[in-house]
Amino acid sequence: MRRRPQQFQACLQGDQGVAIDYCQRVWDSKLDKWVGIKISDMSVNEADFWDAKIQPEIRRIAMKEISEGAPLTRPDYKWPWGRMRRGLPLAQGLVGRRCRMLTLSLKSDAGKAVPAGMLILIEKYPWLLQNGRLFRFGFAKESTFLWFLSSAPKDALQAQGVRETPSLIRALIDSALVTSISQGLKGRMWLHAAPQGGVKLFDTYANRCKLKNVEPGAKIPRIPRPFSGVSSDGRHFYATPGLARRLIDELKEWRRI
Amino acid sequence: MPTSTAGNLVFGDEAVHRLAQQLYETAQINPEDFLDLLTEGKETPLPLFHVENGEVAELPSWDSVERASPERLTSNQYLDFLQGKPVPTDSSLSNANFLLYKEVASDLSEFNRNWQTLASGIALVAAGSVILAGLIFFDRISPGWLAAISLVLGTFSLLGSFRIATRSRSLDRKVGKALDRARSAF
Repeated sequence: MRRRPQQFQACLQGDQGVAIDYCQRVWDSKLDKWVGIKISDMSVNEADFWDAKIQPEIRRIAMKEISEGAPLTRPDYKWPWGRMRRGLPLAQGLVGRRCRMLTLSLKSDAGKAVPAGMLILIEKYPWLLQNGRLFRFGFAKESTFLWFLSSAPKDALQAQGVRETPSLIRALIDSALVTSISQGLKGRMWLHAAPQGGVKLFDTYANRCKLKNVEPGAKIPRIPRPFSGVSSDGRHFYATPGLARRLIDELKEWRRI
Repeated sequence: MPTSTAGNLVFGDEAVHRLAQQLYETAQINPEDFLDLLTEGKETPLPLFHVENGEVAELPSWDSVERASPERLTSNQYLDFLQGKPVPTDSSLSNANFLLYKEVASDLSEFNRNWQTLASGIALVAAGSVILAGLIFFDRISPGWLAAISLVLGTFSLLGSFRIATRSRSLDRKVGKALDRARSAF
């Protein structure tokens, strides 16, 4: 059978992906006002800037928590964004996968776009809730995999002249869901919360982001043998097409300027 | 030593070979395992890119930052992205894509409607054939009637097949034209 052009997959599946944009503003509940954001394709400079100006503050917070014996809230304190931005898309390209890397920026007093959130997605990845029998016959479902996500600490942003620093996690998760829909994957998306992030990270995804959680021990696909699968550690989160639609609808107002 | 450049990075031949090897090794690691390795600060084959001068470029102005489109990047856009160049995401690209989707979606829905009509016709022809086979089996039909009914059913089947074929070709042409227009917009 002749393969249909990629561009038509979404409309064949009834998704009007093009009608949904990424968020353009976020609601700051503390200031009780909208704050403008810009979501752009991550540049090398932004990743280097993150390493130089944002990452030291993340590392400082993590070191303080470690020295005080407090639960770690920043599992991203060792992530080298400059290396990741340059190397991961190239490496994933060798195994036929594409990365989408996004930066969420806030406006500084000096009128600069300061990176406040970073996101790495693998555009098409085996879906978490795979039907084994269908998979065996070549009807594997695909999804978007949220690989890395990081948001800047408020102190680091304020040091760069950003006054309004709302929570960005919903907008970042929304970007992953919208990307999935635009890929014709109906909003299927999943991620693995780093165990080092502890209860706080778990709660963020489960309660604030309203994602579904996989029970510990449930079988999940694992590349390079997605069919055989491995047992989940209970820190996998996902959005089904229905949930994705609901979450995206909740942020309808966030897509307007 | 011969050197190559990529953006603000400078490599020698040996470095290029090592880089390729490291990227290959990185690609072999399961993404979830890779996340764990980086989080734990363990050694990974991810290349240690050397940034000249180690200085960070100035941040762009707010107005100059282009919003990303959620749509899948085209091959050319993705190539720019891999090379660290800005990805062009102007509104004309989105508009072109939107028009393309709209056009093709309406063509496909028309094709679906036609297909449903034809499928119903084919089902009727099949049902007629079964009844005819029954009449022949029980010897309840004269040769004249048999020839007439066979002729009608055969004609319907041929017409149906012909319509499907012409509709498919017409849709292909429409999709091809829409694609050409979209490509010229890219």
